[in-house]
Amino acid sequence: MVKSTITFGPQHPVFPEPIQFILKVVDEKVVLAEPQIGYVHRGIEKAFELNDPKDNIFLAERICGICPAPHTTAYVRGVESLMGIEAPPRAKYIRTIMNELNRIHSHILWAGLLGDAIGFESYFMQTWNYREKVLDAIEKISGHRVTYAMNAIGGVRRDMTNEQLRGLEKTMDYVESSLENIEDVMKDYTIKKRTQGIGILTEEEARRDGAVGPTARASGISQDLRTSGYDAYGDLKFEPVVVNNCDSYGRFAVRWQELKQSIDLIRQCIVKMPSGEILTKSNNPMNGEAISRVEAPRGELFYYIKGNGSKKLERVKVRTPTFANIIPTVTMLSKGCQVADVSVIVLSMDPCISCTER
Amino acid sequence: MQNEIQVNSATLIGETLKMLEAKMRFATATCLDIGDHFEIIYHFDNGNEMKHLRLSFKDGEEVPSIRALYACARFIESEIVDLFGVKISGVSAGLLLGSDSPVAPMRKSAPAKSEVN
Amino acid sequence: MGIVEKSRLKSPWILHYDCSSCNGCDIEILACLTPYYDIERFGILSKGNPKHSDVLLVTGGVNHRNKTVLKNLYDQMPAPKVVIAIGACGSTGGIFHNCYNILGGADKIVPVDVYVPGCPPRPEAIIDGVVKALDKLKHLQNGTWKEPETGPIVVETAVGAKPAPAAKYANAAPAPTLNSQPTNKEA
Repeated sequence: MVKSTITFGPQHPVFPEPIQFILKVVDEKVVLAEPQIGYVHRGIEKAFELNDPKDNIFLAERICGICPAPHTTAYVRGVESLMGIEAPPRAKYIRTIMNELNRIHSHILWAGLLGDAIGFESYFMQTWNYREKVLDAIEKISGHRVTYAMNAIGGVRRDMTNEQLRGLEKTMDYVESSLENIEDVMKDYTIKKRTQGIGILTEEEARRDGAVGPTARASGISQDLRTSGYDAYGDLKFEPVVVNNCDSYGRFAVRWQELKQSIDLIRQCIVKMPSGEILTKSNNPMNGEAISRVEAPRGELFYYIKGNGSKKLERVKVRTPTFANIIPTVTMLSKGCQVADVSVIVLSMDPCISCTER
Repeated sequence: MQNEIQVNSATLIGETLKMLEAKMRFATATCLDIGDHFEIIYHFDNGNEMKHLRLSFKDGEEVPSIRALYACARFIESEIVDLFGVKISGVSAGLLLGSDSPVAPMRKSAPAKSEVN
Repeated sequence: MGIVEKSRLKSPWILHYDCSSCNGCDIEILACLTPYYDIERFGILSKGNPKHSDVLLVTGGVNHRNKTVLKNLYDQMPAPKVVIAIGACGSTGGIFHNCYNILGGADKIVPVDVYVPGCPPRPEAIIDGVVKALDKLKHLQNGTWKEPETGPIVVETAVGAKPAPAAKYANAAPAPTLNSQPTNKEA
């Protein structure tokens, strides 16, 4: 038995972002995986202390270009609680809509990348085509496809017109109809063969390693911060999606059901959308410590914000979902998977490296 | 903060063990540079509420690692060692920063970038 | 034009490397490859192997750990080759200008031929940047390249904020530009 070392990354066609896995391999079997990160570390937490708190919204948005809505929501909610203010109801609904749109586009993006990793490129192309419609909807609301800058401290920057809400309904109908194709793929024999039983993470391991988001929910842990009822989620009806597959297929299934759930949540928001102001203005000093947690597409997004009464923040700590999910991924990889399955397993937790390293 | 317990290097492991027995998930740890001393806040979550352990220590003091109790603390502690240059037993730097990166850049005394270039 | 020169221009292969970008530019590059924008109609394929590639797309500012990776990738690519810096960060460091681990734009490490500003640039701008780079590639392989007097090649769709896409959506905000860092005046 020869033990050899394979380095996977940092520049690898499967990952859009650089991460390195050093794999110890016996024949085709991976016995140990060691992640190596730091290729996209910028030092954003320090920049948070140097910038004006209002400008930090744009910085928070650029921690991750895939999920700007949860990042800015977590940041502004933290600053709001330091200031002792609250966003008006309409702003909360708009935030919820943006967060759910973000989740839809992120999950479709993930489904496409999984197809690419499996070797099903047509599926990658088609799913990203559905995603473009979601991006169009986001652009019609905010003016930008990717970084939308909708959140402001005390509310949102832009209101939504009735026309935009009606347009959003149409987009939701389109996305819902396109989900059938994703379901088709889930029923396929080859896809099942590549994902079922691959990358096992039991409930016990998920708890021990601190998995969050769909990775935890696919291992039977009912953990969804939206149930705590922040923003408009308290008014909406939904149940966290939990499955017990504990494998890559389970994580696929969770995300697919969450797509349906998000569409439903957006429809509920459109129906219940209250009227009124969208911004609470305040010049209160930022004093004390606050923890702000938001359910991002990849799981729990954690912001710790400390203010000292001055015009700048003293400390902003960001713990992103992928950072919490790296150790569970190492557990999945080190169970003797095949080298060919490494890309599927890593992608099944939906890595976002630029979040992780900030 | 609510549900906060002050700990020191001697009592940290014992308090963490209580969290583990209560089946709390270790969310993350935040390191703070408070001028004359450092603080690490360990955040735990059980789905309904969060609990925090606040560890205060002097610069240069070696604090114990909770990796043996929570495996997921591994990267979190490495990051703190990397960015703040504090000492946690058995944890080495080099997770995020390259060999040419500034040393312990998150300390308040570290020069801002404009002063470097 | 022999088969080698013709193939290089009619089907250039791109290599994408993410130097500490926020991911926004990266997913826009991937979006270019999908049928909606369809960069493959120019014969452009995204490849993972630097030794197969003619065009290097760099997103994000260079940091202390990935500068050697970027230099390696550039050195491994066969000449003639062109480098395109995508986004405000790839061009100058952008919003991360005051982050301690960021050296600046990609041009601190490798020579950049075309700049595509925007945060992130629209896929149309990225395609435009690649097409402009192909023009340079043509001149490079013919040995007829002269540096333009107007300075480096910058794709204008994002900077000039042309009215066409904005008029389509009456409520749309102007696209972020290279020179103006985002401010929060509206809030």
